[in-house]
Amino acid sequence: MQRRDFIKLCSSTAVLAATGTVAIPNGYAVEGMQAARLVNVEGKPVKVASLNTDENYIFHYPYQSTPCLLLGLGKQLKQETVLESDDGTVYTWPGGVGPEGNIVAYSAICPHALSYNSRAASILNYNTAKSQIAGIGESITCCAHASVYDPAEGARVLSGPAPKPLATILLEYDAGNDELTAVGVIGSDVFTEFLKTYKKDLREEYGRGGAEEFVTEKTVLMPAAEYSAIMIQC
Amino acid sequence: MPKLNRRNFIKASGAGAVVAATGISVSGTAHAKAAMVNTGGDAPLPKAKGQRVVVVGAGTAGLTIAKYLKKEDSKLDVVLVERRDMYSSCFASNLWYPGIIDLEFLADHSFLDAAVNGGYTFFSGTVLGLDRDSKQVITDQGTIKYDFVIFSPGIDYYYPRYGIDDPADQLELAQKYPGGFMKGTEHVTIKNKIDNFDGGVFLLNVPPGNYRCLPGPYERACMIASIFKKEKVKGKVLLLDANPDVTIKKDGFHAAFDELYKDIIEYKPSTEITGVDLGKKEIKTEFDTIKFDDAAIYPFVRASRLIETCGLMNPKDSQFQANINDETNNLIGDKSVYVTGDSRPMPFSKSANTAQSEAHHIAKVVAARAMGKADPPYESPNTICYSMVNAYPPEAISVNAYYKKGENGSFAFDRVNMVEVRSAEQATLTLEWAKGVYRDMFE
Repeated sequence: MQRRDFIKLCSSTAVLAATGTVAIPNGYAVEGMQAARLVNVEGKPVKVASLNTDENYIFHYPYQSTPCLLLGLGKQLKQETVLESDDGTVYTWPGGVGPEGNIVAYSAICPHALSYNSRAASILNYNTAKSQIAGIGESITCCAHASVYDPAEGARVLSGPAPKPLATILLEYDAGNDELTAVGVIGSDVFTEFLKTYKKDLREEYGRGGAEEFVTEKTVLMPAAEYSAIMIQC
Repeated sequence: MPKLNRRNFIKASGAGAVVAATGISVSGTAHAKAAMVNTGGDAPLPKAKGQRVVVVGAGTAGLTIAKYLKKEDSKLDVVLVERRDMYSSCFASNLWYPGIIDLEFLADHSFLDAAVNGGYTFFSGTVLGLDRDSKQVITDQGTIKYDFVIFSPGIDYYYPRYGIDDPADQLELAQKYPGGFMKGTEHVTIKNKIDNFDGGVFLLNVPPGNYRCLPGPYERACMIASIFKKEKVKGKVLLLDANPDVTIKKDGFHAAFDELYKDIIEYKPSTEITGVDLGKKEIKTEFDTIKFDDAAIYPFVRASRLIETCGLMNPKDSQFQANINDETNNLIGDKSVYVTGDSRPMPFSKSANTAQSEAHHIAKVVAARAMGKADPPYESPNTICYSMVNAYPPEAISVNAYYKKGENGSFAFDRVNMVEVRSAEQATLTLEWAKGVYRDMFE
């Protein structure tokens, strides 16, 4: 897919987003999935200027219960990277958004064994410092079984048992307001298995069926350190 | 319809061949009492849809390998045979005693769900024997024909190594002071002991050899000491270790013993149990007689007796373990028969992650051989092992290691990553690790 085609698609996505349905080639698209503006705990849209570089932020998308990691990367990003999805389909990671082109977002569900960032613990985090088990810094490490991903390259797997990259959450940047909207997902579908595996665990927080509801219009973004009781670095 | 006399009945039940093979004779006279044995005929299973792989034992190894065999080749007909009614894990069981987890954490896992999710057959029964000529597994529910059979029956306890030869002593030890490294019911007993302990000496021990769960006894000492400390029990945990020092993560455990449990845990290395006097509640060692008030006595570990009775044992193996290829796990001389899990003779740590990662690989090996393909490249098992050293608050240490064959053909640790500074983060990872193991077996 050429970059120009993707931008075209983005504009059509914006139109689709307004009507509440999103469809992305090589994307994970389910009927009812919606675009959602990133807001803070008070419901006010998050301004990109307020985000700290290299800090781990959590929001939920496309379902109420599926956690995502947002980063404003300090390091250099690749502009576009071609990655492979688990069924062999190839997708193009479009790079970062925002005024500096360094805002990225990924699913915080590790495709290896479905470890994820919960209220109890954030187990999948970005760290600029060198990770003991990864042996490198400036990477996302899943501390459950030491899968390591590069957020500057579409969360490509650098090492460890993960079979595929973290799913990419597509973001749209509203330059006029300095705000962000989650508009879709590309890459692997971890969500179906996640919702099935944690059905019982998620019921406590979201009520019966609540975990499987899509976020609509808005979704809350906050520092992972505030969302989770414990931040795990490894 | 022919008259159903005794001769016709035996023919009709198809029991004849099996009865002969097991040497049970059915007398023809009215006065003799015949042995009634339910091994007659085929087990009530549907006809195999593809090549049949029978897996014996639904522990970590068995549950994982059944699932991954189907993942490798969905055409395989996989039957997992297990004698237990309920699952309850040994790994993570020490965490139940101080209430870091509850019993549901260990036991809220259904064999039936595992089979449905994994796409294989769960068969409730006890394996009694193996007939490699006719390729049949003999169970108390009938015989099962196999194309491949994988034994993962785990371990058994072996008291004679401690000079405990009297069956009455062995029974009393097993019932009153269980080791707690095999069955869920032992864990319940140990929890009750800890909950009811009024004071004195609580005795634990570490066996010699490659016993199951290297850090287990040390972790259990820490958990019990944690409880005594918190609840101000006037008690001491006496930990007798047959080995010269802590066998794994020793810096982390010594730090906990010294910094957290100075007046509670008494650690005695190089101390082997040589006998017991249960009337006096005394343990005999080479130099001492040690009194205890309560105990969980961990016997010497051998491979499951099933390995021996089914003819899979290496008679020279000091722990009665299987006679298998140390990379592909097949019985020497028979590529239809495999042994995985703790019954293996290789010096790998006998632990859940080791068994689970080994199962991933051996599933690939068996599936490839069933399809007539070349063996996949060798992959070492992965020992990931978390130990809780403090309960209030939960703090843990961990190790992550692989194995590599040296030039002399024997295995050594490879790519070892130790985290011996205890932390709350490691405690969180401990629970996350355990949940991941359950998911990989049951989901």
